[in-house]
Amino acid sequence: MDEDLKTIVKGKILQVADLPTLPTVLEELTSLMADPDASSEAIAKVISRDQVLSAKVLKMVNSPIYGFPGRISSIQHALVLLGFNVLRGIIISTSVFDMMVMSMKGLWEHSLGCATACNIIARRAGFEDPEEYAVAGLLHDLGKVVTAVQLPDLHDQIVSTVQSKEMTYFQAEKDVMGFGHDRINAWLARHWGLPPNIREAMARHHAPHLAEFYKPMSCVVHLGDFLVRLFEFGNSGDDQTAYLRPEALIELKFKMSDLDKVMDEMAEQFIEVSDVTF
Amino acid sequence: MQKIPIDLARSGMKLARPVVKEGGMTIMAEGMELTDSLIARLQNMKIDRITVQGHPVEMGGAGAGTKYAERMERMSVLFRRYGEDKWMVRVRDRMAQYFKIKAAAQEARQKAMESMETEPDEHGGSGENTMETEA
Repeated sequence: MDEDLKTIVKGKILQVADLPTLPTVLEELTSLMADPDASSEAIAKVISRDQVLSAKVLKMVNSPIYGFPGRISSIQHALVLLGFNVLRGIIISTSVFDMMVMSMKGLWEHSLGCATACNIIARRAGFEDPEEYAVAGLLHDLGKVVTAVQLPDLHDQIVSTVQSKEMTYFQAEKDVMGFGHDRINAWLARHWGLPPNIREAMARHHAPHLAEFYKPMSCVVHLGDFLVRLFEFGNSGDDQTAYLRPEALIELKFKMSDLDKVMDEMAEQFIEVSDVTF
Repeated sequence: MQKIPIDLARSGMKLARPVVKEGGMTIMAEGMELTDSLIARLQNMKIDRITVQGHPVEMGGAGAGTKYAERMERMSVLFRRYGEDKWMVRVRDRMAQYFKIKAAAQEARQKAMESMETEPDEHGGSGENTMETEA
């Protein structure tokens, strides 16, 4: 695929930010983020103005994914506990998935499952702020959703290529568009001003060994994605596992027995997480 | 096991987890079979979700309640692309082993539950004891 088509696709993808269904709050938040003097009160106020959005955000932060089930009662409280980046990631993912909630229910579940797995993996690896890892997991397939919303024809072509050529979704994307959702993730993350660690994890979850600055987070999302596919929780667009890079396990200092523990916890939490719908 | 909204509960389903009220009081023990009147009582008590055995309600791809034995069988399908790759074959076999152990534990637990049912003791306990056999 030539450069022209890539430019067209990129242009079309990034127009997603102008869709009327996206909460206007998101734009305000991105500019607030750029202001170092913005207080958490000011940020909480902006989010709270949109009641539907606030309700969704509270439902998400109180889900078992983040480990504070049922204890966070206000946006302000959520901001203090989880931080602005996590909240913004949640707003982006719920808003974008909202457009597709019916036809992509499987992908939403896959993303929730991956977020849960990432939280568990990050805790086990002893990393600080596991919530940030969870949000990276939540957003790791955002590019697939946005492609489906913005470029439905290409999306259909990708889906049929998966079947006709017995390819993975990721390979089919490259076959049809010349690049995958990892690239689209990077555009979107930059567009919405997501922090560099989450951006790199979104862009490198298929090749964590190539991550430059935030290898641990990329490896966590890579492993989370692999394990959720193994459990077949939700649907990533594939009916097979992704390749598990051994480098990811080495980076996290995980042995196979660590995976057992992670899967035990995943099985326990998935029962609860399958409940998180909008 | 599967967590379902109370509206989708039907008589004949069995609880996989005890129903616990806010504040920690157990209302119904694990393993109990639901009847229409029990479901109505749960609804009156404003319980909106329960966890039942098996996977009786199709809620669109949620694989949370799938049996481990079924997962084990899926391994060859899931890893079909990597039959030649030594590392991935190792991963596959290790994962299959994990699911095998889990499947055995699940089966043992199921049997323990069934034998409990035949006993006349209706008090049932909190269900915590049987939970531990899974670990």
